[in-house]
Amino acid sequence: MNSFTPFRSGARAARALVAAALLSAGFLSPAFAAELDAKLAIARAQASIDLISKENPAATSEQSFVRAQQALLNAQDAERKNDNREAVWFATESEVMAERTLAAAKLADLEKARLATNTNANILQLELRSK
Amino acid sequence: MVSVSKAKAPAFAAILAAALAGCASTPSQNPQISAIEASLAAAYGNKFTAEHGQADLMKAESSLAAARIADRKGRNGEMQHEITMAENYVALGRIHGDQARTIAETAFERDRQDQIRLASRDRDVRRANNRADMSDAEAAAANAATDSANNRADASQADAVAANAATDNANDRAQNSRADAITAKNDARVANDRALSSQADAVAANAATDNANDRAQNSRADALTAKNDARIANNRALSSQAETAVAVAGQQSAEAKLAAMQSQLSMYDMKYTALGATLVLRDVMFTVDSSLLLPGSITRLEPLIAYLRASPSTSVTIEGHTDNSGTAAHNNTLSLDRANSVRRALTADSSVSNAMETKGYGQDKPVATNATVSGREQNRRVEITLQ
Repeated sequence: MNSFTPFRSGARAARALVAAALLSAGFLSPAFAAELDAKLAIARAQASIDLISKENPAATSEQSFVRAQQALLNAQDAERKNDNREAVWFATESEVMAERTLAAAKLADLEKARLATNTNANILQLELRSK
Repeated sequence: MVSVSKAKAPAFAAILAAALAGCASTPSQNPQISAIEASLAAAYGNKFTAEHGQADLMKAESSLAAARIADRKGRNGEMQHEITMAENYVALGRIHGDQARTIAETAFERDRQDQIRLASRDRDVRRANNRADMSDAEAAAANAATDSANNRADASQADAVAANAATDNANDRAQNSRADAITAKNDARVANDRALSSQADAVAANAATDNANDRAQNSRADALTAKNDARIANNRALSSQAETAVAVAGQQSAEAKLAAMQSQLSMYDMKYTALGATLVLRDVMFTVDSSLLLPGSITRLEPLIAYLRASPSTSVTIEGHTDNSGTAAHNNTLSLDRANSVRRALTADSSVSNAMETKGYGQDKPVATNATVSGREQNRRVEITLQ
């Protein structure tokens, strides 16, 4: 996977831009914008973890997944403490750890395929020599 | 965001890292940041990670830069967050690089498989070609054999044509022969019918012959019977002739004997009958009312004794007779005694062996009247019959 996660730069900038626009228009207070940003980050992290649990259950035992879950819990805890900034940090950490888990799982699948291909090639080589 | 091609990404990343490092006035004294920097540099040193994890490494650099700023400003929480992010992005870049490397290796293995399969197919093709060459050679040989066989087949076909022609001729001849055979069969049937008729006639003739044979056999049997009868009759005739001859001879002999007897017994009172000659001896030979012979009577019997000695086959029957004087029983006894006395006198000579029989009739067979003396003398007698 060679995806570029946008919210570290583009998405965050867009959100900040939207929040600034809403703030200058008088619709959104700075505190509410931070809270909204934390909730959005937690929601994305939760979605990533749920996706792994649903589609790749074997990966749930990986250390990175455990750390992603732990980071999500920390983010939710920080949100409850109204520490929205820390909640966003933990949520983004949880999301990238989940992405790392998915990538590692895909790498494991690719390794299996490579090993199978290598084995098949070796078998074919032996068969060719034995003919 | 800076857009670069994948081919130029590693070079670009290296330049970027150098630029970032250059931006930093002094190398970080934070060991966590230093460790991430080292890890990031190592990641850039890997070809696959630098190329395929480029975006991740750039994010890591961004986070690392933010961490340095937070570190300089003493915002420890933010620094820890950025270090964590940088660490995860570096790891993610390595994973993406490893994925690319694995995909490349898998492709390489697939290529190797294909090459092996290709080599195998090449070898199979070579072998198939060799087999094809061999098959071609075999086919050529087979073709040659086929040509030869075809030639032989042509020759055989020609032979077959000739044979068919011969067969047709033979069939024609056979058909003609069959026609002749049918005609012959019909003739044979007619002849057979005739033969059957002749056979019936023959059977009838045989029956007639059998009848004739039976009759002939019967006739032969009759003839045989007649012949036997004739033979028997002939035998009988012969026997009769023999008997006749015997009889004649006997008669002649008897006549001779009679003639001899007549000459030898001429002194006796003789009378001749069919049974023979009978001598009559009067009672003067015996004493009165006695069977004792008088002495002179023995002498009178001597010619008879001489005759009997010469004719031993002559049988003698001696019968005694009396007159009617006395009782009949007495006369019967007297007559038998007198016959026996004559018999004893005749057999006193041991040379006389003739068969003799004696009978006593008493007064039952008189030859003359008993009323007179001469008549009673004639009745007192002994009659000796010679046979």
